[in-house]
Amino acid sequence: MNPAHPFGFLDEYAKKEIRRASLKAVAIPGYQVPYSSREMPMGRGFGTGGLQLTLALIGEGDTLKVIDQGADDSVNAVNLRSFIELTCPGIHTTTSTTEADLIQSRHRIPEHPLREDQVLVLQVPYPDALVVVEPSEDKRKLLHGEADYSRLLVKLYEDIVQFDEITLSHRYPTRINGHYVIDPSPIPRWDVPKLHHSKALVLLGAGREKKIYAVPPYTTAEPLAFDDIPFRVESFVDEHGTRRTCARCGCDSSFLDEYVDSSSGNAVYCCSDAHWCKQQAEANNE
Amino acid sequence: MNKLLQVTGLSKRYGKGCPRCFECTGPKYETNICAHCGTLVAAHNLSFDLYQGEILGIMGESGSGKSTAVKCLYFDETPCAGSAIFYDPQYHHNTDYASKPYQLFELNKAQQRRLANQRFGMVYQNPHLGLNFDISAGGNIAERLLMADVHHYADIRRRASELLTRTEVSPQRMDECPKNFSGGMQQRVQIAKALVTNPPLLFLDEVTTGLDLSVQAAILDLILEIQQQAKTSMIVVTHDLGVIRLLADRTLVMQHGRIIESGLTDQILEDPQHSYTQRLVASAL
Repeated sequence: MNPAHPFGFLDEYAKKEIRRASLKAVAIPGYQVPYSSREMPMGRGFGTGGLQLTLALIGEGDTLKVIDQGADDSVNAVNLRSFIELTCPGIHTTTSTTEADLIQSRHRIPEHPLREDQVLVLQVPYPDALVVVEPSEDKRKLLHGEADYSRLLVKLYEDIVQFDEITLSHRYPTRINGHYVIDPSPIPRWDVPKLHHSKALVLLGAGREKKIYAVPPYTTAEPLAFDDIPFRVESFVDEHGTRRTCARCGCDSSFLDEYVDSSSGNAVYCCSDAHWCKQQAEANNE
Repeated sequence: MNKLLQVTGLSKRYGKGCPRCFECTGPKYETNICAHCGTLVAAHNLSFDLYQGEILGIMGESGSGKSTAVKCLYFDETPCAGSAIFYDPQYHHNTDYASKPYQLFELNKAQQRRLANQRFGMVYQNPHLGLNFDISAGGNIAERLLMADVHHYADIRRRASELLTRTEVSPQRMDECPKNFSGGMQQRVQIAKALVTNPPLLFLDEVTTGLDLSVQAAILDLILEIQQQAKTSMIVVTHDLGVIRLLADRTLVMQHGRIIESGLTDQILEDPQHSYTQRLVASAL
């Protein structure tokens, strides 16, 4: 342990500020609260927003899980986990979704349903859903204030005109508590319904863009859609219309990643959530 | 006749302004730039009424303040003085005409945008101002409907294609970007977009300027047809006497930011009283 920096790397004032911003974010669901994102010993874009939230929230004795694209052992997750272990003595880390008190995640929400006593921190590259239709932040704030998301809907309309369906695969604009539309970080469409009336608190932090926002527990989260063309999640059906299953654990109800098998050249599908896959495989063996 | 719009003392100036701005500008001084502070007095003390189903023409040379007046009413610009009351017509079953008055310049920005989107329509001279060239013609029309909380995809498609048919744009081209369209078609798409929320009031700012004569005639025909079918009130801004003669029931003549003459269009064109109007009418080809 390096005594040159305090517990959690950030100084007390910085942690206090992040906690206050988080409280405000919870009080106004979906509203992007600005905060002074600190310089971290890693590049912005590597999850510094989520990391700062985690460092401000974690305390001695807490159990942490860090996920990158569903896996616990990919580069981003490993580095963030070892950094937090280094700077927060006395915390525990785990790869189990159920054992964790605090889960920091990049691009996925765990398949295992979260509980009320858990907190999910998501790393966000672009916090504002409106950025694709309005470059000026001043005007975006106005549109958010008036809950005018017609231009995002025009975007969806154009998608349907062109491709007969909404082709957004991730960062699906989602309306929180009937007002603010958020960019729920690059989680796939599959994970968006998990935000709706989520039992766990979901905090989203954007380090580069200096914004924190939240989906508090038991809050409505409706993906933008048309009345007659509802929101759909990925179906994972093959050309015969049957649901693909995980090649490792055989699960047919999880979000699947596609790999190319190097020996046969065929596409192989596996659970994206590593802990879920392991759990299912163990259950099958018993 | 039911009154739709009442404008009183509308003024707009660009610049820091001084107490003497208004007394040293205008037709009498043949300028609209204040000699004391250099402020541009774009419009001063404009007062007029508009009735339901009526087309009001605003005529004048470039820089006379015609567009400024319309931009203020459509909330593109904020006027520095004056008031405007919009009597929003309400139709209920089995009841007579009723209207809900709005003090246009006292509303907050959100209310203004709602009104501009749902109750007013605007057609600009330059289609780039009224249309988003990055999205399809149908998408442009959909935007206004979505802003008005119509969230049914099939309804939006049907309504957009209805409007395009009515403005004589082939609905087959609905999913094309307006940048591939001819100038006349862009103008028709703009009109379709303006009409999609069935606004009782439509502003037309130099809609036919820059189009060739046959297209001009077709657009003017379309505007008259809309006015006769939907009884939409319109304010038509133009410097073209032919447009005024064809469309407008009543006309205001503006010069240097002031209204110098107003009355029935026939009267103004046949028997102009003001010397500027006389010159204008005499110079028409």
